[in-house]
Parts: sequence; C-alpha cells; structure tokens
Amino acid sequence: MLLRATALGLILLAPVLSLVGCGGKRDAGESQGFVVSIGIGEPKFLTPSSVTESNGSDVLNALFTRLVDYDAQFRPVELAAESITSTDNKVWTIKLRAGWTFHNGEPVTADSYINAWNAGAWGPNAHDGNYFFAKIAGYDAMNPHDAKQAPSAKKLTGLVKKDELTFEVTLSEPYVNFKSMLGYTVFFPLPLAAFKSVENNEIDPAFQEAPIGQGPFKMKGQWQHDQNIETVAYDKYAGAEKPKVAGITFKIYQHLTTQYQDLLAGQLDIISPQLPLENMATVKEDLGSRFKQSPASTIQILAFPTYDKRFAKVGIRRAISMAIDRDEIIHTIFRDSQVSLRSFIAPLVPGYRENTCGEACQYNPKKARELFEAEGGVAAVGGKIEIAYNVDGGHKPWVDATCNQLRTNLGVECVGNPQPKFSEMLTKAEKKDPMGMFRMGWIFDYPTMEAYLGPLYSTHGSSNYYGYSNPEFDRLLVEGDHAATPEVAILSYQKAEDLLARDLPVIPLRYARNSFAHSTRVANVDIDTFAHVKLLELTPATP
Amino acid sequence: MSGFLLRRLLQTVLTFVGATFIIYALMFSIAKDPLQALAGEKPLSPSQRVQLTAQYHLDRPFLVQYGYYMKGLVTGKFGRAISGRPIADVLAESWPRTIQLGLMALLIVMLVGVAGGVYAGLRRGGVFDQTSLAVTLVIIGTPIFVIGTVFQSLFAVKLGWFRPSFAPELGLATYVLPAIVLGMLSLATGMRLTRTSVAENLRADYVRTAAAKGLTHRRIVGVHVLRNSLIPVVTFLGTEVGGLMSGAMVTEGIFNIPGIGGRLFQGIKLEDGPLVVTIVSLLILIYLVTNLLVDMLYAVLDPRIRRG
Repeated sequence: MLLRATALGLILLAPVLSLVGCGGKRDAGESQGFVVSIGIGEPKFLTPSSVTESNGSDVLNALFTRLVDYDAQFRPVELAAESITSTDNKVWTIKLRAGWTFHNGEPVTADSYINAWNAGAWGPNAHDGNYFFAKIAGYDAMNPHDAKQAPSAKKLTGLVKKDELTFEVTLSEPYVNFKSMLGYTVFFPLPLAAFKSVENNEIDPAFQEAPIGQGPFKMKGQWQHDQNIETVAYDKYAGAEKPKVAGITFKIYQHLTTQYQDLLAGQLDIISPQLPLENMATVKEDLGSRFKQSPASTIQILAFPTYDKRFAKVGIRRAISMAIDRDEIIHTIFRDSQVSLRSFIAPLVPGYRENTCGEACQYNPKKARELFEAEGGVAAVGGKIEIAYNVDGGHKPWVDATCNQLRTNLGVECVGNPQPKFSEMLTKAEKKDPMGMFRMGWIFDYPTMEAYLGPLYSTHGSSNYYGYSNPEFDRLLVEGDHAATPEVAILSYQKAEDLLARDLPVIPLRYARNSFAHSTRVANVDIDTFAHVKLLELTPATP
Repeated sequence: MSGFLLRRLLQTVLTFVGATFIIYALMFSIAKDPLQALAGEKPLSPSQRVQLTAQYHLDRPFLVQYGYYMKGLVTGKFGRAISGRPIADVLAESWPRTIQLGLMALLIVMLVGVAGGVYAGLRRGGVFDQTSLAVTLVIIGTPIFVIGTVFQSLFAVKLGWFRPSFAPELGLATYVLPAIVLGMLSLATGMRLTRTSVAENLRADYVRTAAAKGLTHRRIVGVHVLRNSLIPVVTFLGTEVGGLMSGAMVTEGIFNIPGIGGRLFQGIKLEDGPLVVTIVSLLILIYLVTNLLVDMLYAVLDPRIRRG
C-alpha cells in the first residue's frame, strides 16, 4: 500500500523532474560590452504610427531618430532633418540629411517618410497615431466621416517628393507649430522592408516584432513579449552624436514596484520616468544622488460639466478652487512627486506663464467661504458636491483629501464618485448623466501651448468632454495657429489662456514631476522633453 | 465504477459550458466600451471604431459572439487579443512558465507540507507541533502579496540569495522563491490538514486493533494510518492545482514572471474580452480535469467509493 502512495508521488513529481532536466543555463555574456537595462511596461505596438503610449515610444526612441529635437526653451531644432522651412506656414519643405541608412542597409529617402505617413494616415489601418496626420492636406479623403464608407484616396495629396532627400508637406490650414509636431513618434520613416504593399498602405504585421529604424540602436533578435527587447549600437549610425554604450536592453515589467526591487538588487540600471509612489518615502535614503526629478508635461485638472446646472455660476467654481489647498495635498499624498499648477498648461512649453489662474487658484479658505455663501452656498450645489474619478488610476486618496478640504472650508458635504474606468466617465459625460465634477489628466503630444489649449478647451477639442465653448477662445486659437511665427502665435495663445482664467471651465490642480533613478553602473542619466532617457549621453560609471 | 466515471464526466462537461457562458457574459457586459478602454484617455477616430468593432464581432448579438468564441475554443482557433497578438501565441509562451511555477509550488507543498504534517500528527502536542501551529496560523492569516513582497525584499534585495524578478537565463532556479511564496498558503493548509488527519487516525479503532494483533508501530503508521490519512490530503492537493494556477496571478505579478496569471491581469486591466475569456476558460478546464482526476484517485484509495 505504501508502494502505491509512493508511485502516486512519483507520477506527480515526474513533470517537475523532467523540467529540471531541460532547464539549461544560458550564458549571460558580459563579453558584448557595456549594455544598459531600462525598465518599461509591455508596449502595445511598435509600428511608429501606432505608438502613442510611453512604453512603445521609449523603445522606438532607441531605434529611430526624430526629425527635430528641442532646445532648452523647448523650441524645435533639426535633428534627422537638415532643414524644415516654410514661408507661409502652409507649405513646408523638409530636407533630409544625406548619408542616413536604415539598420538593414536601405538608404533613408523622402519616400521613406512619405510611405510611412501615408500608411499612418490611411483610415482603415486604424493606427493609434492616425489623428496626427489630420492637419495634412488630403487627410479627409483617406478618413471619411462615415467610417463604413471606403476612403476615396489612398495617398495624402499634401505630400510631394521633390528629390531623393526633399519633400514638401502642404497643410490644409496654415499651422505655425508644425515643426514642433514633427518630433513625435508617429512621424518616423519606414524602410520598404516594413511594407507588404506600399501601394495599399499595408504594413507587414511582422514588422513590429523587430522594427528596422535609422536610429542609434538596432534590434538584436525579436521582441520577446513580456520579457525584454534587446538592442545593440548601430555601427553605421549617421547622427552627429554616437552612442557611448554597446546596447540598450528594455526589460519589460508588469509592476513598477518590481522594477524598484530589481534596481536595489543591481539587476536593473534605469527606472524612468516614474518611480513607484510607495517607494517615494524612502527613495532618498535608498539611492541618494542616483534619484533625480524633472518637470513633466502631465497636468491634472478637475472639470465642471457644462450640462450640470449646479456648477453653472463662475463664483461657485472659483470658490471651490480657492478652497483647495494644492500644496498640502501634494505634500501629504504625493510626497512632493508633483507640483501645484496654477496655470492651464504645464511649464514645459514656450509661452508658459506662472499663475495665469490668478486669485482663483490661491488657497484662501476665508474668501472661498464668503464667495460660496454669496453665490447661494450649499443649496446652489444641490446639497453636496461630487468628484468623479476612475478607480483604476490610484486617484482615490487625493480625491478624498480634496473632498475633506471642501467639506471643512466650504461647509458642504462632498463625496468621491468612483467610476470603474475613465471611459465610463466619458460615456456618462456624453449622455449628460449627472456625476459631479470629474478628474482629467493630459499629456502633451509635442511642446506647444496649442497642444494643451486645442484638445482640452476649444469647442470641438478632441478631449473637451465637459463641453466648454467660447467663440472668442476658438477665434484666438485659430489666430495663433495662423500666425506668422511661433513667437507671434504665443501672444494669441496667451490671450486665449487668460479667457480660461476668467471662465474657469476647469480647475488646474498640479503637474507631474518625472522621478527617475539609476544603478551604480551607469552615469550621465538624464531625460528629455518627452520623458525619454537620453540614450546617447549614457556612459559607464567611472569607479 | 464505470457508472461513477460516466456521471462525473458528464458533470464536468456541463460545468464547463455553464461556467464559460457566465464568464463570457460577465466580461462583455462589464466592458461598456472596450474599444475606448483600450485607447485610454485619448479619443478614437470613427474609422478606428468601425475597424475594431468588425474585427471582434462587437456589432453582433451576444449569443452570436459567444457562438464564434466557442467555435474557436473547440477548434483551437483562439483568435487575436485586442492588442493584435494571436492568443494562441500568448498562451504558448505563458503556459509553460505558469506550469513550471505551479508544479514547483506543488512539489514544495507536498514535500514540506505533507511531511511536516505527518511529523506533527505523530508527535501531537510536541514542540514541532506547537511551533508549526503558530507559524501556519500566521501564514494563513497573511495575504499572499504581503508574503511575496516581504520575501522579495528580504531574500532577494537584502540578502541577495535570489533575483527579485524573473530571469530566464537562470533556468528553473528562477522559480524557487516565487514557488515558495505561491505554495505558502497551500503548504500551511496542507500541513494542518495532514496533521489533524494523522492525529485522528492514530486514535481510530482499527489502529488499536492492529496494535492488539501485534503489528509493529512502523507498519501501523506506514501502511494503515498514512493511507487513510492521505485521502483528504489528496483531495486537497488536487483542488489546489487549480488554485495554484489562478493564485499565480498575484505571485507572477510580484516576481514579474510572464506567465498566464500576468496575462490575465493585463487582460482584465485592458478589458481585453477575448484574452480574458480564453484564459479563464482554460483555467476552468484545468480545475475540472484535476477534480476529475482527484475523484478517480479517491476511488482508488477508498474502496467504499468505487463500490458504493
């Protein structure tokens, strides 16, 4: 009988034993030179015009070089392009630098860009970055409003090849900041090898498993899903600045906290652009000067839906804003990983001014209470204030803290209104369901004021879910877009921002700070405007 | 015996169909707008919407969607996850890791849990019994992610005995710490169960009879007590196989093991209906099959069941 029990044990053991047999050790191999590992999450896609989230763009940033970079004042300067010029801001001439090649040896030409942009703009491809091409002439014909209809054109009429290295981009409307846009991931070129059919804008689905770019690093093998993406320095890289490390390995993590543990244990070199909040309390102790911070483009705001009568009075909105102690919440809840925001845009763009919101964003509980009572008080907001938020984003602590402040300072009942997903808040906003104020975040696509003002506050803005509409604001925005130079445009944009301070359709709360950290192996770690690690500056640490 | 088997088999099939249907219905009624959820806080263009809707049959009635899904499941065509990757690829990559992790955890549970339980049961009231009672009670009362994070900080970061995260170049060694964490809860429960079972059987009438017949203590314990004590333990271990597979979700997350638990977590977060439903269906299948096997083993171990 004991025999049978033993046999049973062996049967259950057998698979494990056989697995022990085949689990061979692989050589970690330091022989290939100094490789830096960077922690990311699993990217959604790696085809440039589909990449609008940070994990994918971190990887593409190694494999590709963008047309423009940005200077210390966040103004665009040519990088892969030799010159980007326009006389009327409508027709732009892009001249590429000579001698650039893709990792497979193919030369980079005007066609590499034209083909890639056409594929990105082609509606049926349904690429995430499709909307970036909307400013180029011919976009509408490729993206009919009734999406069930077949598009009437396969190519953007606004893209014309002039010679091997020059092409002309015609926009449907003049746009002064077009050059700033070109630094974004979706504008990378593609080699012919990426296409199944250039004619039909068809990209090979296998391309993103090992993307071929023209950047400083090239793929080493394939994208190992949920594990890592390895790259090595591209020896024929044509950029002026060459990589100083032998390769970059992007290690893919499910949770940020595991990245932190790996960094402490010396198994990971760089975490960027955000450290786990739960480690912020001990990070200075753990890492000392290897922990760094820089301003980020993400802003957090509270929006007042225009369909909700309770918030119709500007006075009520001002009172609520003045009753919120931003600094206190940031200190206690976010442990100073964020900064109070008192303007409607983040300080990472030319034209940013501090405190455009004025008195309305200064914490003043006494005045807030007076104003609140004068505007009708508790009765005016229907007995209580609600703040809707999505529970999957870790927003509960600060929403509760905000509510506590409103309760204390305005003497009104305030509750958080948890929603399972951000998308469900949007659905409610569209149906005009009452849910109270709601939270929103915004990251710019490229560093201009318009990248905040347009989508968030203009009447037809793509993310204006609260329905703010001011014809004067819209007019100033168009005036800015059509201005002769970026400097002139800023004047119009700033006037538009001043209107927001008057109308207060949203309350600015705070902007994020990138918080990044690195191991003792690597030095010169810094991040750029888009919160990417500056890969070309990385060097081994000198002992 | 064959009647018993047939009945159990039929039950299994029915449970499978019923359970997958409920899961499918739940997943797709929760996701009001899976496409927008996928896009995050950025709006989708109308043409993207049409494309994606057609791709996932989201415009068809619910029963038709379920039909498509069952057809795919039965024929092994799982389709594509919302991220565009073939689900079959995702599964083929993830399963082996979860199975390795799960089996290693099970091995630890069997070796440490059962052996410890038997020892504690034989020396009831002794020092080992008392300490293990205290320790297992603490373990049962602690959430697995707490155990996981503490072990990770202590053994991997502070002491450096293990890597804090999955390192495929280490082979099976990389699963040791996660397997200990994953097996911890079952180990504690298994140990208590074995201990009680052994202790109870030691006092049973047949043990006294055997002793009266003059059998050696060794033979009484080794053959009679152990075999009878193992019956509840085998049932428990069997059901734990399913439990370990799904418990892997937390452990895999902490240790960054790209297994089935991690994919499930990701799928739920992205409201990736096709992926979640496929994984959960397979988990159900494993659970049902192990239960079936356990019942059959049970019949082997306990003649009353197969003859009853």
